Amino acid sequence: MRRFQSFFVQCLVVGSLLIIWQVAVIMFEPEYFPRLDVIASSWHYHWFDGNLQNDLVQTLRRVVISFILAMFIGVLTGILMGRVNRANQIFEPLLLFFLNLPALVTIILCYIWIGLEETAAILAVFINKLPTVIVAMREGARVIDNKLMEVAKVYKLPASRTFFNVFLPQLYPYILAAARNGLALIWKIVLVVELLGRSDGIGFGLHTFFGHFDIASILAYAFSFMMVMFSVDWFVFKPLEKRIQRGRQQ
Amino acid sequence: MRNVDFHLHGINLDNQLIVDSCSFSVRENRTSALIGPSGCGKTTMLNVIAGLIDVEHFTPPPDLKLAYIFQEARLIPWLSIEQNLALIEPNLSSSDIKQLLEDVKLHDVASVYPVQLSGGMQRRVSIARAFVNKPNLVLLDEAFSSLDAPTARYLMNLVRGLLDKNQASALLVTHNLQEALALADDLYFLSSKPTKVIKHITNPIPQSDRKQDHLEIDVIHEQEKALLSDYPEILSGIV
Repeated sequence: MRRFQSFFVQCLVVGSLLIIWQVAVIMFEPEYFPRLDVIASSWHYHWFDGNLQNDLVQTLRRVVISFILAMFIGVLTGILMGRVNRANQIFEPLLLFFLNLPALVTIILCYIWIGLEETAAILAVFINKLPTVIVAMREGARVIDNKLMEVAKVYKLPASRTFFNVFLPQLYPYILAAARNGLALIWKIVLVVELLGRSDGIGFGLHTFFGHFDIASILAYAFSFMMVMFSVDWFVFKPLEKRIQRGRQQ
Repeated sequence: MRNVDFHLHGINLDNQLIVDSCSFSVRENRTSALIGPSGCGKTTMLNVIAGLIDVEHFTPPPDLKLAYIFQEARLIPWLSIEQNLALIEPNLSSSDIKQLLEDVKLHDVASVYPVQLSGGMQRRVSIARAFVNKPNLVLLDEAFSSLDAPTARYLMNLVRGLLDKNQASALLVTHNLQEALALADDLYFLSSKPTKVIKHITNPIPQSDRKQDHLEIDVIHEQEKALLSDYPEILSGIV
């Protein structure tokens, strides 16, 4: 019942947005606000006759690679910084530097230093995302419940059993939050990276349509990718969240 | 387990002398109690013995197989009851788990999560967990203090039964003399910080009487009164 209600509310929100869009279509120039059916037919064209499928795959590939790299290294570094004071002292200035470095600067520098290559694109996204994962994980590692760790120590649990059953599960909510925020941030950065220096992907497509002032195609491309991200949230993060919450609340 | 003698002295934490000099014994298959006022360092001593606090002057006896029943249940929230027990010993069969839970009078709770149990039931699971790895010394840190009297007595009976069944010794720290009289064979009275043992007596209530399922509360009260009149200077700060 609750799930149905949640679905109903979400449909209501989407429906309201569509109505607002249609009102804007009536009020403004159709070149700026194309009708929904025009956007739909543009999507149909790009999906079946254009490059949308390939662009989507390329962007997703970049998102997935940089996401996995940032999460893996970010989680380990964050735990280290949260638990070992000396590590925190060493890495903190670097962390602050990269947290405050504008994404665009990183992207441009990566392209200049490495060249307009795939490695540069993924590295730029990775560098932009990594500090936020580290910060989230460091906070999580700082509030580890030492009373539970004492249980593991008293009963002399092996290190791996302690890590995977007692330590790491305490960080799952932080990992999930970092992953969710991370994915939302990464795909936006990937679009900028593609716009600036790649010849495929959603970002490149948007750049091309911008040149032709083709708003219907821009929206068709953007909606396609947003739908993919919604699906990831719905089918990956929500079930994971449900699983993580088991036993943590009534 | 043979008799074990503990000698704790000169324990400093954060540049403060916590334990001056404490020597006490836990006899084979018997229970000793460290009784002292709140904040005197009882839990610190237990944590030193358990290896939770590293100190220079103490090395635990090598053949000790410890279990620890904390003040709170300290169950792992994201593991089911069954998984909490199997965490200590992964080779436990489901019948072992069932037996452990039956020993603490719990039924049909193996698959639920700690949050789904009452506080008292969680304590019982933590008692069951303490006996998973067949310990020879069980440490009890004010394990019954925050409970109402009938629940505390019920859990004490459970622990006593399990200690007998597993032929384990126990070291109990408490500020509650009645609790010590109901469970322990040897009573060690501690001073305030820096802690010293100021008196050692053998429990005047015979072990056979304490093993009765329903040890009369009057007997404990009587003995408590007698001890208070015998050692007023020692017990005034404790009870």
